[in-house]
Amino acid sequence: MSQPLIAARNAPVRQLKTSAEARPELQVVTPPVVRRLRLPLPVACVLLLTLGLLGLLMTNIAIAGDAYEITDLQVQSQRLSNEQQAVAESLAQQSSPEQLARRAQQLGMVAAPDPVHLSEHGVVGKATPAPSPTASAAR
Amino acid sequence: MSRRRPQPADQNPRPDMRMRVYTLGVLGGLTVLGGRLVQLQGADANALADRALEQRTSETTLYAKRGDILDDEGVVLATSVERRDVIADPRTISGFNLRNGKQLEERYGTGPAGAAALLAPVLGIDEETLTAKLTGTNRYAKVAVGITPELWQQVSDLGIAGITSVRQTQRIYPTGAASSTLVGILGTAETDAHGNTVDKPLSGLESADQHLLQGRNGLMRYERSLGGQEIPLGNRETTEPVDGTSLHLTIDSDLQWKAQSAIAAKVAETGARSGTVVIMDKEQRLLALASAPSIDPTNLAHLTNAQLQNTALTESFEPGSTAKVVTMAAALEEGVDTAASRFTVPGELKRSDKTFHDSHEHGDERLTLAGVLAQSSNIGTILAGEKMTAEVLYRYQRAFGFGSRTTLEFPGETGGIVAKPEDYSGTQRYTVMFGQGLSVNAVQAASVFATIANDGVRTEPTLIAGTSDPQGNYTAEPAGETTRVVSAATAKTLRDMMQAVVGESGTAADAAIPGYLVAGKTGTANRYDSDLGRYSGYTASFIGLAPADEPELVVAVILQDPKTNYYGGSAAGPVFKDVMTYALARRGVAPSSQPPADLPLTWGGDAEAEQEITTGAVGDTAGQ
Repeated sequence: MSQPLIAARNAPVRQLKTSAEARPELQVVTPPVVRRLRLPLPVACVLLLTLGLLGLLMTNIAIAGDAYEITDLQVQSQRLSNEQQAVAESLAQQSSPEQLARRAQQLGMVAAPDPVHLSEHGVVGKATPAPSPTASAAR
Repeated sequence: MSRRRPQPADQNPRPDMRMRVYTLGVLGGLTVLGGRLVQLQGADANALADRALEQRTSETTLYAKRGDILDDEGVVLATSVERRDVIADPRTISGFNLRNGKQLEERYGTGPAGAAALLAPVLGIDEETLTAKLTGTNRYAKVAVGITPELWQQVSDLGIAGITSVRQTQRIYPTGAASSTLVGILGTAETDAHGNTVDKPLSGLESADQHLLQGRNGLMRYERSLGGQEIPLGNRETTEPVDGTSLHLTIDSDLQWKAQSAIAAKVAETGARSGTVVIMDKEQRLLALASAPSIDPTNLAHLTNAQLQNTALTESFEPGSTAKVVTMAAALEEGVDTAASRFTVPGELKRSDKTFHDSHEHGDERLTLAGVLAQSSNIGTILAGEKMTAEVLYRYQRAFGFGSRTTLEFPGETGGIVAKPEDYSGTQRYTVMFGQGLSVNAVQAASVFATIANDGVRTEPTLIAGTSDPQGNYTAEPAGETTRVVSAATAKTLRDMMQAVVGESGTAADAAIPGYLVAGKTGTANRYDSDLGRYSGYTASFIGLAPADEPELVVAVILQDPKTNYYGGSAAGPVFKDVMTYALARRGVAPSSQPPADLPLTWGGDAEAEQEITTGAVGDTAGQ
């Protein structure tokens, strides 16, 4: 027995300070209405457990599904970046001065001869017609 | 188990015995199983778990991208692309489309032939060759090299078991031969001691800035399921790759191409050994460094060392008459002469133990200092130069940047040789005045003219405008250091004097550009051939700046050992005109608004001034 209990047992019983004539009346009281569970406790526990496990399962399924989706998206992203690289590569090749010059020649264009400038002093330079394109490709 | 009715004790004890045997049997079995369980869970647990983890752990290299090399407008000069090598496992392929010796799919053939029939059209390889490659009991055969990722995607979509790929990176140079000597070439990657692939640059900027360009590959370890998906919530460690830094050059790829094609055509036409064009602005930002012969980076089969060199920086030569500008600058700056100083230039001049001549026979000519430069008279230059001590001239040569390497740190760059006055031999005291007996590279030669274009202030040449780190943050490189070499007045006088060079009585009428005043100088020097160990052939050059009234650009054209035409004015002059005209238009430089300087070239009303001289001076060899 613990100390407080012993102390309590040995403590003098406190008297209610009431007059000796007026004894307290004891009445029967109705117990408060206890809310009874509709489900018996074991069933409730099992149900809770089941629900929890089901939730866990659903979460796991969702995560696994996402893993598949991530993989698919990664594959797609790889494909797109390959495509992007191929396009950038082809752009770099086609925009190089050498290629541009060759394409221009194929179109029958020639490099501009002496340019003529318009300034406040009038026309500077002498306009010379461009030479007709020949087979001499400046490579 | 227990019987309802109690058994009399004196009955047959067999059931009891049977019970015991059963119990013992069950206990024994459970003990064995339990023991095994303890063994597995207690003793071998870690080893087994590790093995399982190893089975599902996959390592992937995360590749870092090597930095790009870009021109001043972001045009790509060098970039890295992904390529795939296709590897086959013939032993696996021998069972293609077969299960237990039976054909699976009616549509396809079986074995190597069936696989080849599918693969060949995609890869564009001959079917028979491919079948031969896929047949065998070995486990490794290279089927294709360097196909694009897109093509590999098509191959991988065929889903042939035993066909895999290895990732490679390839460096591509879209501008081709135009800038290959400058940008450099990246050789094949090698594997270092740690098993990492390391790019091995062979030349140019790829080699010079390797430490910046090269990235560091990363690594990802994760747990993967059978289908290749990452197992969620599994272990995962990632080392992020670090991409390389990209270089932004001061080069203008259009000018580079123009310069390269012009000099390559001229080298072919004159049968020269090599040729160089340098274009820079007056702040000495290099806009083009073209060098011929050059190398096509897509075809490295017959690579020679000479083709890898960017001769603008790696080749030194005796500049000849273009160095007379340094002597003139010293004479003007030291105050010993003005542009109008009068000289009586004899037909020959004896100094120390040698007799000097000009490029053409003449009697006594009355030329001003401007006339001496315009007609490129060696004797006149000596007469002007010997008014100063050798030390003073040497100081100016060094101040203009001769004899020391630029800060470009380009692989194989030469600083040239400028002898100190105390080390002069024989007639070197006089020959250095007209550019023989000292050697420079093309950038140093052009630098003199850029200094004069920039009113006498020399900026260290720059080639790299800035860098951008993998996150794309651009950092500008610090500008080159500036030093004043000559006064603004001296620089202007020199520009006025050099206008006469492209005038009617100058040595390079071919270099004149309509609408622009051009100041320049021809050079026709004896070329020292290091292979032969003696002077043989010529170096023809023309270096000029335009517009002379408000300078913007400097172009230097240098031809080494041209066979058919070795005069600077007529061999290099037209290339200068072609390239400079294009460059002025490309950079949007307005035409000259000032009238030409027209300094008097002669004095005393000499009718001889009318004679046209169309050749450059050939300097005498220095007595080495």
